[in-house]
Amino acid sequence: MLINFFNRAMNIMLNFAKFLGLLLILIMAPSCAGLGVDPWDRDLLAQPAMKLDGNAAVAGLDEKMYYSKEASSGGKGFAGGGCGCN
Amino acid sequence: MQLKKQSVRNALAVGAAAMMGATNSASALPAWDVETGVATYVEMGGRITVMELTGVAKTHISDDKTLKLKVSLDTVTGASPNGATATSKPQTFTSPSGNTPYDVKPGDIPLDPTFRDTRVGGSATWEQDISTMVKGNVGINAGSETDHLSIGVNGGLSLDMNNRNTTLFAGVSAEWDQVAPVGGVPHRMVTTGPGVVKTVDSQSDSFTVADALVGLTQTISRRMLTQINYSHSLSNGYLSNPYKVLSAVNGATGETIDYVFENRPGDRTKQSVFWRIKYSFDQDVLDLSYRYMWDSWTITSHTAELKYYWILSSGDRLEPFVRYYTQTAADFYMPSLVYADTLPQYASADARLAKFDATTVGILYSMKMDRKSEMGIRLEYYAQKGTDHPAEAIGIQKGYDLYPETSAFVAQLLWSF
Repeated sequence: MLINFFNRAMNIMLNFAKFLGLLLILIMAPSCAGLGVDPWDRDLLAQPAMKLDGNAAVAGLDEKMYYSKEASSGGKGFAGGGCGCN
Repeated sequence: MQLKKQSVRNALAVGAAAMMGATNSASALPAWDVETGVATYVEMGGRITVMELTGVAKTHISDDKTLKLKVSLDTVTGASPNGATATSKPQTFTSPSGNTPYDVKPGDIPLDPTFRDTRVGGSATWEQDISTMVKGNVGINAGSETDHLSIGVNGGLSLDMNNRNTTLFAGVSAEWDQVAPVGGVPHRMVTTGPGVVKTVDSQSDSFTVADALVGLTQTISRRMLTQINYSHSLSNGYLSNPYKVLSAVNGATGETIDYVFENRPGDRTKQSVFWRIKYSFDQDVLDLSYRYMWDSWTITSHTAELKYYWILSSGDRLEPFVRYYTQTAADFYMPSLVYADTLPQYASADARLAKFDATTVGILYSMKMDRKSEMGIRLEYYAQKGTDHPAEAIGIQKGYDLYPETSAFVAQLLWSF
């Protein structure tokens, strides 16, 4: 079972490499399109409400509720639930 | 008040410094940002009730090193659907421990009233600058319940590019879970006979979860940023629910004849794409996200979430939010199975693997106490809607609800300082 697990982990790594390539291409697109702002134009982006990681106590509760009640998990972060609630 | 908060922060800092073997010099102690929450989750109809305490503390050990600690404690009590369907006769089930029989009236969806659990979980994450543009993080997490033990490790790298307008993130995690069901692991897909007394295969089993995630965050303009993630997750091992059964029914009348414990495939691959946009209207902020998930059990799901950060003139904040979720069924999901000499290899009547929609609505009110601390209250309502009368219903089943709907209220108090 352990060998099986590591074989599959290697498969994931390979898929992972493919998507890294895809993402590098995605990076090129915004660079070419001139997206983004200069450092002195980051006033609004620096607001607390613009942070991508919000309150951890809120996120933890919602993630556990949805993990316990639905068949999907992950997306924002890793999909493993760390509990026996599903 | 300020003194009290300062003393709590200092107490946390002393504890962390002691763990790291630092000198006990108050002037050298790092400051901590702490987020705490106490929540109650109550399902309607006397179903599950959860009480949860959460604490998260984060500190900058130095300019380029951050430590984040999280602990949570929750208790679960109440009744949970056991997977069997309603039928025209009274039904008797044996609790997982084998000690407590419970009866279900004709026409009612069978609920196991003996469900209870306590969980303690914790995690630690260390983040460090590797170079000017590259950050790395490593973490460990563990959770312990009456019937479950989970241990995991994770790590990731993020790379800032394009004048810090683009951030690329890649991470992996591995988790090992041991399942030790109350009363043992049941023998699956064989009829149990009256009373649903299980034959025990073993006292415990296990599964592993390997995750990989890559993500991109891009600043679009002075007001807008976006995030795209792709994640790939592989679970392997004992993925069945040891407490869920299926009714084996007469193929013509739909009357329950017997029961079997469910069996799910031992592998599951989940993939998802997640997209998020944040837009600032000077003070207020709009947060919109969408996730598409698909897996090897033929489940696909769409999740859309909308949140608005409404900053009031006092500095307080209102956050109304709404979430819509819809999923298709697993290919081995069935509300019940037809009693026959040969049973399928895989089958589950767990409603979480059925086709259903779910809606969440809620609001958070957060009060600014001073420059750093906030107190908040969050209220939320969650409702699932499945197919009460599926096409697979046989005979008398057509007259009963076959989907155990869930609706729940959540209240959460928050304090960050």
